[in-house]
Amino acid sequence: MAKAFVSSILTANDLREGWSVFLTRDGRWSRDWADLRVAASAEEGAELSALGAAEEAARRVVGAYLVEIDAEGRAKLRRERIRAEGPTHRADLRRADALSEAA
Amino acid sequence: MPLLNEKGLQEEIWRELEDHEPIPLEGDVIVPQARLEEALAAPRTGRTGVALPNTIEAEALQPLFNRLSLITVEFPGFGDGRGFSIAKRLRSLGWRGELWADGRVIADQLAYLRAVGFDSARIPEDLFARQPLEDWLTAARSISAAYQMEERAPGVASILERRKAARAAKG
Amino acid sequence: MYRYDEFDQRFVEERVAQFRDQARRRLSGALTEEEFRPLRLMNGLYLQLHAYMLRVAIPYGTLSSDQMRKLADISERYDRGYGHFTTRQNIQYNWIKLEETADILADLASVQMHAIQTSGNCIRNVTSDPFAGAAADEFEDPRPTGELIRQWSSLHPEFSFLPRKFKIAVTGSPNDRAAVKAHDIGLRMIKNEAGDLGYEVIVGGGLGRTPMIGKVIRDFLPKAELLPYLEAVMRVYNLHGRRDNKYKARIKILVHEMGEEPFRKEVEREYARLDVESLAAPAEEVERIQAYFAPPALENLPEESKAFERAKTADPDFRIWAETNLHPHRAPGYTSVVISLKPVGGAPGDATAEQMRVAAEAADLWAFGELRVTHEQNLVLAHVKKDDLYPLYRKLAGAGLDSANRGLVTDIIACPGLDYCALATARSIPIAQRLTERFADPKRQRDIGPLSIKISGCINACGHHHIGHIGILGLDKAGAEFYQLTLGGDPTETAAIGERAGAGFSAEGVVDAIERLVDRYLEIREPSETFLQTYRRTGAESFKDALYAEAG
Ligand code: SF4
Repeated sequence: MAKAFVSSILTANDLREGWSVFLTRDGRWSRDWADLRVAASAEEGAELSALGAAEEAARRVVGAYLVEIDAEGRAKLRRERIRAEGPTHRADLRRADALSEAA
Repeated sequence: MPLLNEKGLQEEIWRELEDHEPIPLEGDVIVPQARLEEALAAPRTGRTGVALPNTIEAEALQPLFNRLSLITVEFPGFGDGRGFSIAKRLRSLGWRGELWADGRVIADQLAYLRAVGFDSARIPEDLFARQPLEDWLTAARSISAAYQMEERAPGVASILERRKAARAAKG
Repeated sequence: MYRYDEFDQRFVEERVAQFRDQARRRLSGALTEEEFRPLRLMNGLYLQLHAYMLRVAIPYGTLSSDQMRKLADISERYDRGYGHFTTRQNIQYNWIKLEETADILADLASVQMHAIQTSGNCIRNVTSDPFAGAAADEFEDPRPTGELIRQWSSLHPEFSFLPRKFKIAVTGSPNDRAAVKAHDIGLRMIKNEAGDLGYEVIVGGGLGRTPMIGKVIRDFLPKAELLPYLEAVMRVYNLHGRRDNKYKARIKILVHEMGEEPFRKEVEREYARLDVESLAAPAEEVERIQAYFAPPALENLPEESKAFERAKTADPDFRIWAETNLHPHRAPGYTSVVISLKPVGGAPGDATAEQMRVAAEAADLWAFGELRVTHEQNLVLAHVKKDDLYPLYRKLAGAGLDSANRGLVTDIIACPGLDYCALATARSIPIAQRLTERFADPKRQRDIGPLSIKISGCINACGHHHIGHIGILGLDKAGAEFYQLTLGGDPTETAAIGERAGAGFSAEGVVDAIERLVDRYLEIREPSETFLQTYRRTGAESFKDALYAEAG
């Protein structure tokens, strides 16, 4: 049985600047986890992945991949939450919008 | 496929044998290692080259050196650096003929290839389309002097020799 | 310490220009990411969880005060005002832009530094004893050897696309402070019966997923033969090291799979083929390098310093610091000083720009302008007059650099872990923070005595957990961080890989678990026995008991 699709957003690193970025609903790459484009089905997921590959080919970003999110719009994996929110060991390194939600 | 080095594109007159193609008696051909014996036994008038995989023990080829005119060493990917050591060995075993790196090596490796004894690199067309000759020439010239004593590309000076000269000049 | 001549300088400058061109070709599309990646890695540039990370080489851990100040400037100009000193005696910046990297490399070149081969499948930055040139027990300063290898291995045409990374460490003392048995090649300087200096050559050590202690493959290698012999080892590895599986590609696996004896024979066979004379470093070159490491002009001093003794009586905090953070120097009246980068609640090895500047200034005032980075992620001032210790201490204290914990339970080694590292399975730094808080009491720490805790955020073991007296390995279990303990590891000349203690612990539970281990040690130790000695005497059982008794 195929694994049920989990809603996902698209992340990558900005090629020039390196910062982790997230694809917004209006198709921009943003450092903030806010107003993100969400893929809710396997088809939308494939579309989003293809978009990531195209963005890599256009040399805007590098290492694009889908990140699964939960019902609150947060990344499911700790790794991805830390990526979105910043290192946890110093409060001043957290991203300002650390707890905002996707979509 | 383009054949190049830091002097530019090189003329490629060799023909590579197709699978199962009979050994031609005329013309310069590159044969795979598996068919080398067969090629050398044939009453050929042209020159013979051999394509080696990068898993070869170079010693095995030494007895045939004087019957060969070209050796190519396969680079399955640019990250697989075995070919560098194989070239080094072939040269130290006394191979004085043509030696090519054959495969997906990149512009930034040209100086290294030349330093270990390759004459040229033969690269796939798609790679050449993306990395034009100019990139290869620039990359090959980027470091003018190296720390290694033996392995240096033509035109790359030896830092140790320069130091020695500087000492001598000071008296 | 070593200074670039015009040729070294030109070399690093050309390297900067070369990288600038490579980055340009990446942005233009001439180089794909796959092609660019090994090129940027060979200039120390990684892509991490949040951004690019730049790892700067500090060859054999030695740097000048000017270089340290430049590192501080770079952290402010291009990063977020801090840097992370690593177990490889390097420094890492975590928030770097690709567009600015060539500029950073140019800034580094301006103070004779670089990031060459701090990553990639090539010969990495050589590491060494942080007390080199000062330690009382040293045969010879290992750094000239380190410098010789640095130059020989820089952009080596044959050995830049190896099966995997390659790490070389050198020690000049019988007491191994460079963990040479945990490196791809470890070189230990020794004297043979004739009284000549040479190297014991150890190959195939390493940590990571398959930890192994290196094997001695040459009991005595005459000094002059070093480079040709290294070449023979490297060639055997380059030709025969596995390339089918990245986790089996290190030389330790080759040595293991081939067998120690056949591997040795293969190296000797290759060595016999080489023209040793033409490959050996010319004697004048060895002398030239050696001259840079001549000891500084030390004064003739009495062993005891009155000023030092007075200050210890007057300031008990200073006394405690002096009891833990000094290392014996070979000259009377001098000592080496360890500047701890392990404050309670801090990230091990992190230093702010301001702390780097204070350390640099202290080096200028009292330590001949020279600093060291240790593989324990601390700094060292190698040559300090005991007379100067108190003002030095005051200066360090003003910048939070006065933690009196060298070698103690809070002198924790930790890799960046999941807070930064793209490969991590769990966080390391917060565990170190909680542990240093738990064991903050200086009296308790000193009562516990020498105890090294080392934390890695994944199986790659950058935090050296296998060779910690207590090792902590962070893993992921169904989305939760979870930590496995190893006991009895040892990085020194009596090297040992720690043994797995049993089931792992949650992030919350692991601090309590460590405390139970420490308490058990205190219960059962004999007078003046260290944790490691007790562990070796009693074996793992009584410690496992303490760890898991309460779970039942
Ligand atoms: S041990 Fe793992 S988590 Fe830690 S720095 Fe190394 S690769 Fe990253």
